[in-house]
Amino acid sequence: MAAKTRQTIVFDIGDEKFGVRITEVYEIIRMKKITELPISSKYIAGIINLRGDIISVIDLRRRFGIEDLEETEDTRIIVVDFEGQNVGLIVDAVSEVLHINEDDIDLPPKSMVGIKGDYITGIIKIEEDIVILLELSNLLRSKEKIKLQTEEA
Amino acid sequence: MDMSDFQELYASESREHLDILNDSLLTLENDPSNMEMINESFRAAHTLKGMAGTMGFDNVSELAHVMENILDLLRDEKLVVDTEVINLLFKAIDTLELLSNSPEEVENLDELIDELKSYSQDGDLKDVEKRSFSDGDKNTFKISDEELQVIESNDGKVITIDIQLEDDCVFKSLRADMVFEILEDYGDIIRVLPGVEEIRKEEMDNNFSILFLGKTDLDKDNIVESLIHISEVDRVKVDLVEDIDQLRAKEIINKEVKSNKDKKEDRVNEKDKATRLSKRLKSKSTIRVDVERLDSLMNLVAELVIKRTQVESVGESYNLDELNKKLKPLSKVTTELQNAVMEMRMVPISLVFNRFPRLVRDLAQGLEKEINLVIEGEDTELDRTIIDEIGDPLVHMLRNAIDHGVESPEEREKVGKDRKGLVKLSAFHEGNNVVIQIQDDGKGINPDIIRQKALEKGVVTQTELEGMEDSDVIKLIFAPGFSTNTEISDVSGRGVGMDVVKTKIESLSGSVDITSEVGRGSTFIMKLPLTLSIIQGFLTKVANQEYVIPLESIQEIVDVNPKEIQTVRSQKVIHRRGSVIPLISLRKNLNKEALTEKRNEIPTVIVEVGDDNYGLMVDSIIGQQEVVIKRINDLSESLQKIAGGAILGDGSIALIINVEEITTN
Repeated sequence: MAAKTRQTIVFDIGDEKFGVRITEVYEIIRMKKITELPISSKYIAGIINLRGDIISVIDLRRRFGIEDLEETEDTRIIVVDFEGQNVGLIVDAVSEVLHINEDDIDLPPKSMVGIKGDYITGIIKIEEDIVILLELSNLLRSKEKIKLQTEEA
Repeated sequence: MDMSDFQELYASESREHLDILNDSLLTLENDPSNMEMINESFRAAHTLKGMAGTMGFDNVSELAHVMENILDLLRDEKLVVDTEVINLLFKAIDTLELLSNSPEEVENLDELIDELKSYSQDGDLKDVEKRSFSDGDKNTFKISDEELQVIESNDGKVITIDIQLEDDCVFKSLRADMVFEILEDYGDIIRVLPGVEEIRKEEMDNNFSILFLGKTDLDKDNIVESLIHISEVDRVKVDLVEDIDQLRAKEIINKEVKSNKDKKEDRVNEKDKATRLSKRLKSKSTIRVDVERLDSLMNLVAELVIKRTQVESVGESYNLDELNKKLKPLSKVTTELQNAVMEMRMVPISLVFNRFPRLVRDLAQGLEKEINLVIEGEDTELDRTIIDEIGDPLVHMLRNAIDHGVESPEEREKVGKDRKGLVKLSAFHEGNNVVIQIQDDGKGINPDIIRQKALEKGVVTQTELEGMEDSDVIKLIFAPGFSTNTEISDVSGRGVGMDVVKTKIESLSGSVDITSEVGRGSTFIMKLPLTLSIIQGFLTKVANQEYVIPLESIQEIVDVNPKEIQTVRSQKVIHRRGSVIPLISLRKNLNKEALTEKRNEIPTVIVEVGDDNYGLMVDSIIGQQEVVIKRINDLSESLQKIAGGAILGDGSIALIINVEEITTN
């Protein structure tokens, strides 16, 4: 069986590297002015004006329970398609686009108990790094708190 | 006084009556139902007849007499006012004129009199039902031998169905399709007159006929009943064809009639042809446009408005007077363009209302209730997008009115009401809004039952209830998870509906309200914006963020001195012009930190919600601006306090305050 390859966009949040399928990504933009909404959810950073359309933006740091980071030159908003609408994800930096072989994808290690299997499709080792492949639709749909920190035994 | 004096008197008087005839017939042609005009022309013709009789002008008298006959038939509705009869009458008038001025020029008087006579006899012979169809040649079905064989080999009933559509019917071919679709349940269509192609292209008058092979157990009345409920169908006539050969015979007879008619047609003068042509051209001056194209046009205009605001803000911040001056006419043009596009998107609410008579009839039948549905203001226009969205909420409220509101005929009789319940659906403009009301004269909503239910369902607490007026209690039916009917009926469902209705209407930036009186009925009042996309708003600043308050709800803007503020039952209020206005801090309501510094004047926007005024306290007021509303797709929780986002000149987003929500909580 010929191995399927897919392209993945790799981005950083804190010390972790994450990947999302390139087909799910609409575009990647620089950080822009975010208008806050009067809601209690901390994950939603607010809304932005994307060429005349208003889209919601999610702060993935807050989503994963990592402390806030000051915006830098590298901060990006990855605009993804979620159930027919565009949603922005704030990430620390976008590092590369990977061609990965589906056969190389491993199941997440047991030690990663904090983040539920629902939200990740698997992990992949790229040289020294481990990239966590995200299942975006589940991640965006759920409202529960996601703990990212791997619990060292 | 000799004879010539009389003649002069006669000439001037008959002139007067001929003028009356001319004028009234002209009016009649444009307004065929105008009885007054028929009466007027009848009186004129009658007087002419009498005058001519005394003068011994027998030919005038005879002509006036046959005119009188036709007018009499028109008056008794035995003849229908159509171009043909009007033409004939005009011809008679012209001849009468000629008779009194230069009788020697009159030709073919006898022929004209005969024509008028035969016309009035036609009218006499046409039975009452038939005259309702404007076209004389019905049932001219040409049946091929093959078709005849099919008919004969089947033992179904052969009937002819004549359909008369309303005069101003817009969707002729659509209505015809609906007729065909319904008929499919009853049997097979053999022939359609005019042909199916013609009907598709709407090349027909407002009537068409169908030769139909029905099932053996076919009931004429059933067919009439189901067809007459199609909207824009005016009359339906079903005739049983006893003898198939009759069809063939009829064909011949009708051919004769036809040829007679053709002759008459030939006489129609050029002027008439020209009028008809111009009419046809006129009807083609509308074009159908895909809604998507209109949407994209609207988006472009919205974009233009945003860009204009951007340029304006550059001009203001750099004090470029020359630019500002040049921009003024531009902003006028964009505003006009915007209005023009919005008008294009407006459609009459009858698009939605039209389906309700049938729906109400079915519902009433299912629930064994008798309902008289009255529809008013169906010409009221609304933006296409809103029209598309309000169908479901309206259906829901109508169902509610019929299911929960109107009592059964027996109950109604007991309390001395008409057996038939009244449900009134009306639409009208009110400022920048369209108001839709659904009113019933049913049993109304009992606040005590609502109180009890609301407690049971945990919608409110006992303490909350105690402070509530009856009118507020009734509004609890809009609360999520509330149902007043203990039994679940398949009509109104589980009562999950009213909160859904409310949410839907609010998502359209509208509001819904209810008033009710026990035993007298309830009224649901929906207020919807005329259009969704662009509104006039007041830009304000709260905690370093910009918020838009829609202009339509603003009463006035005042600076409130903190000393004027009083506290009534832990609610801050001010007194203005004799009324007490509750104050709402937008900072507090939008989850922002309270302002620490003391202010001598607090900018406050007084808004009107329903009949009440509220003061919204803001940090500062920026000014009036036209803003383009953009929907916010929020992910986490419903953004009730915000009606949408508006993109400002610098590209940033201001949130549009949902005044209803912010004042009710």
